[in-house]
Amino acid sequence: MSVKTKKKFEIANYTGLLSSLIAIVGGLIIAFIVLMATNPSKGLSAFVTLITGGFQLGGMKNLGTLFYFATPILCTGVAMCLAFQAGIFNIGGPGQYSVGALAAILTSLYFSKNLPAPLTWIVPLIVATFAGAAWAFIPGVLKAYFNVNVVIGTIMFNYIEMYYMMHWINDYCYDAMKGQTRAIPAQCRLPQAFMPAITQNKTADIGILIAILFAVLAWVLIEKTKLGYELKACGKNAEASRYAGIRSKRNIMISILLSGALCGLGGGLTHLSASGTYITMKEQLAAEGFNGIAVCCLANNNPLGAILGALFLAFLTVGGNYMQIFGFQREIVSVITSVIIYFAAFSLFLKQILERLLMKQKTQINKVTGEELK
Amino acid sequence: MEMFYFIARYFMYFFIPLLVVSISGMFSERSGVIHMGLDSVMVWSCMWGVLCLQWLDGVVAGQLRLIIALLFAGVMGVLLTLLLAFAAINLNADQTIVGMAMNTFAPAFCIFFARVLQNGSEHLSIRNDFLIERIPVLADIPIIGPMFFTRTYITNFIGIAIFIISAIILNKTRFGLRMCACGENPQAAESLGVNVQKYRYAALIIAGFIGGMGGLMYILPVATHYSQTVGGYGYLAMSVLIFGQWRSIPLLGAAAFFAFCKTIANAYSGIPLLNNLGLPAAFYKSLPFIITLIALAITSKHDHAPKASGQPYDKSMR
Repeated sequence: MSVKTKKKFEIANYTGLLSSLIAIVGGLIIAFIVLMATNPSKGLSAFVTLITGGFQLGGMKNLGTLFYFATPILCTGVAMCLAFQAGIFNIGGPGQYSVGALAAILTSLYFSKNLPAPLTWIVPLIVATFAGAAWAFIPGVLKAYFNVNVVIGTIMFNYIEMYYMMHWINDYCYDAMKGQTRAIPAQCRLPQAFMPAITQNKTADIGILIAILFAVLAWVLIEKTKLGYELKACGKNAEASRYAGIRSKRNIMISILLSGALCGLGGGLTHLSASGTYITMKEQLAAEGFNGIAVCCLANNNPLGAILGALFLAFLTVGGNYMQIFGFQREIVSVITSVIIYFAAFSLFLKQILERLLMKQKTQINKVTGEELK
Repeated sequence: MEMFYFIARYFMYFFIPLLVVSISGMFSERSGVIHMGLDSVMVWSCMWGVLCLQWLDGVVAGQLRLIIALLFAGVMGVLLTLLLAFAAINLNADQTIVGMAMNTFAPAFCIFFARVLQNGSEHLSIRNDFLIERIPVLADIPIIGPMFFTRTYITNFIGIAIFIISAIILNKTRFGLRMCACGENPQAAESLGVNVQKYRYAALIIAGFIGGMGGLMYILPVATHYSQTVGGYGYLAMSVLIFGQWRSIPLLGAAAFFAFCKTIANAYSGIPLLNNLGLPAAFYKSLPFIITLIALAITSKHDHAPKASGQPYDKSMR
């Protein structure tokens, strides 16, 4: 590497950004290979559709779709960041997300539809947030007080949710004609405000704005408050922070509850959206929860970075949907996501190598200046 | 009595894959690499195993077809696990995240691949003619005969063999003990001339092979087609591993316990006593997962996890 390019990495954040870029490029290369291998004649045009997000086919209307896809994964992504900062790997995203979604649907169907205007959708959102946190509560307690591996705990709760979801939907809000949850009343949906005008999409709503707001709040919490500092300290070294008088058990609980709450919010925002979304009767885990992990990896655990990460993955998702025109399955987006996560797993290693190169250069400079002083 | 035999056979269908896959995890973790991707290895190699069964249909007859498919699934399992090995051993990766990446990759790729292969449908059908109605002589033993030697699969016996061989390798051979040393204190092992990286690679290759076979073993008795899922079995196997405290014999007990819960969850409607309780199906289906958590809450306080598990090996540390 030349001296010129080395200088560019003087700010440590650049190495973080670079490792994200490496991950993205790696993911796209794998996608390209898979596409070309499955159908060489259409592979290239499908790939172009993927990386242009289908915008040349769908036009500006896609922006609304993009925001729609970005909203839930931004929420779950920020949720993962919050947990990661405290050293917790919350894989319970799918469970917490779905429980939040169901809570929002049930609240709007049974309770909030008769409330005065803005409360019709604010109350379900709040309930969804609490429901998500509640679903994270037991894995949190198990981790903090019983030393149960949090990954296992949250995964088990995903599966418990998956089976109980069928039961709850069937009992309380099943639309047998369509095989999905009942439609929520119009007044309970998220307001659209000026979003349709901006995105030229009739079904766009303010969901993405709420999600971005919470991403910023999460960033403030982590970077600017005492609590955030304690969480980070626990994540870096739980024993040392306990020695310094930080209550690590309490912090584990706080971080996983906040994380669950954000996942629940994501579920609420998606299922109260103006475009109308339903939960189908299928035993499967919500992909939005897992995609949050990819968003978080792309963002290097930074909630503000998660905004970009979520928009990028949503962009790919929109492109992936358009790719079906060429006869390709949209699962390729998940393949890219997995490659991104894979690369992110050793981004720290890449970062260390980059920083080591940088340090070498710095010490050399110091040596020179030291000799000059003599 | 017929009911009891039925449950015993059902039990074996769940017990064997759970045991085999948790052994796969044991190899990996005892050598010091956390294997979160067990589920993905199962999903992935199960697909290749099923495809191999389809290719061999009409070419090779009888149990040989199954055995070749099992070996093929094992080899494909090794290929996927090498992704983990490379990242964890050579690139000091965060092993948990690599596992999650694998878990995202396998189902997505398998759906993609199956749809490309069959122009749209993602379900791969399995022609299953491997059921052994009764094994001569052994089936005549009272009680045990009808339980284990009638209406059985050859995979049951392969699974038990894997357990015995792996227990011997891990606890009695030089190779196994050195491998475990790499998971407990790699620096000390290295100072005695053990090549930690090589041993970890060897452990993960074994883990991949066993885990891959486990994937096919799971699907065979319980499904007529493959649809890119193994019902969270990889995760259950991981819990079995923790519940079994990473040791061979306790692992056997833990796997049996979970398999029993799973059997109840699936067969409860046929058991009058349980069916009359009036609890929702969701309760029985989530029972193995709930019990896992309770069991882990009780046992996790003192865990005997390999001490270096999950940590990238750094030669310069002591």
